[in-house]
Amino acid sequence: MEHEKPYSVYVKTDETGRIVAVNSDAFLSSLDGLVKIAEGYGDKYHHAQGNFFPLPIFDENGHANWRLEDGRPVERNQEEKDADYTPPEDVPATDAGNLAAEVAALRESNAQLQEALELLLSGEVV
Amino acid sequence: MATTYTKLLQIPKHVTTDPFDITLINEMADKTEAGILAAYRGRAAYNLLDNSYFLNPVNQRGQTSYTGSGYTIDRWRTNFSGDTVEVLAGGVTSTVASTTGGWRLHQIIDNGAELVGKSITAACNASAITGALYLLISCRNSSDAEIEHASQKIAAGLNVTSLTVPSGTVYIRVGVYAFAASVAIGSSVTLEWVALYEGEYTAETLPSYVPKGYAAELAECMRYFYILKSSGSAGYNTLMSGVVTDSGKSLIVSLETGTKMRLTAPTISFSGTVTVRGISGYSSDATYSAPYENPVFTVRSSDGGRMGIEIKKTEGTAWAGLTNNTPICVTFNSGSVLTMTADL
Repeated sequence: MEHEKPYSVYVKTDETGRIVAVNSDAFLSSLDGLVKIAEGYGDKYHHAQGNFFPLPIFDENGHANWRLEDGRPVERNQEEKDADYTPPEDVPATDAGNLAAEVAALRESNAQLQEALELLLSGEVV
Repeated sequence: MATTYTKLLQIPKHVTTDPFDITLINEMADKTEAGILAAYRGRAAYNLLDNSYFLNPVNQRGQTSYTGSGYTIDRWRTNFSGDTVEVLAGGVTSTVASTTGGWRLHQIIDNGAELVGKSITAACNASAITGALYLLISCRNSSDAEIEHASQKIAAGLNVTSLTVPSGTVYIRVGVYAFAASVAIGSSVTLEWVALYEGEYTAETLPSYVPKGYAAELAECMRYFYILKSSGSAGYNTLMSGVVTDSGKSLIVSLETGTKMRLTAPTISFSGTVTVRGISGYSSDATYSAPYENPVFTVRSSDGGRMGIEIKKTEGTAWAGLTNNTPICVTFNSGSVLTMTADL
């Protein structure tokens, strides 16, 4: 009986070398743009997506846990992950001020409409 | 006085004139033992294979014909690119497309270590056979290299082969094998059932084949493969609820698989489109009329029959219009398919 061929593990990286996907050739229809990093038998290689690396591809903050260095996966440290952060832009205070003014204007307009409606329903205006 | 016999097992009864006839007593003992063993075998034999009843197989992938290497009906695969497997009313037919030797329709089980030192017997019932194909048991190590095998050339009707599981066995493959020396293109076999029993049996002593029942087989199969298809344009059967995390980049939804899968992290794949509704309406990236195509699905956690699934855009950017920590629901559009695979 022939010896079955091993499964190959491929990764996809972003432009900075961070690993953003991993899978086995058993489930890949195209290997374009992918890098082979290992081969072997068993679930670790066959179901590499969630079983090859000891940590998930992304941590709980959405940062890649692994990068590719000289063709080998290396765990990224916290300093590298911190550098991924793009701080959210501050909301300009003027925007908040405008919003408050708009709400106040709408409230006043609503009150006027309510008053007009009550007047109409009372029959005092024909 | 003539000997009289019991009605069913034909065990001789004592003769009143000679209650100590030792020949008769021994015959009674032999027939009683044989009767007990036959009854015990029939009840105790448990089929170690999943989805073995090919007259009503579990076929979650849903095709009536499979071509090429990979899984076909649940738990059964072939290793050859041109081979076909057809799911027919009269059984499952495996047809050979090359003269290369190797595994055709077969199943892999991974509890070989538990069977080391024990005899096992594979059996199948073939309703049709063309050419030289074999029922084969192959005991294999952790690198999937064969340690020992036993085979029986398949003939129409019942086929049986046995071996003792050798030390070092991890995986056992059972099914249809074609030897390069004898296989011809077009060789085919139609099987009604396949079984693997602990114990050594012959065609005469083999327990009667008893299907486990569709529901039991489906539950076993779902440990290895799960599929969720969107039926209907609205895709309400695929509606999954969850929350927005990671500054709007990740949608974490809950998915019930019914059965705990063999792996906590099966391989997940998705093809199709999704719509995403938040508390303020659709994400503008994934509306009903303009759904998002082929997002990236990842299994983030699993516990029993429930999975935590992360859905991200391929670009990795935030889903437009969704706020962190708000509830969302995701539906698949028509034709979308999610699979989770923990096959061997």
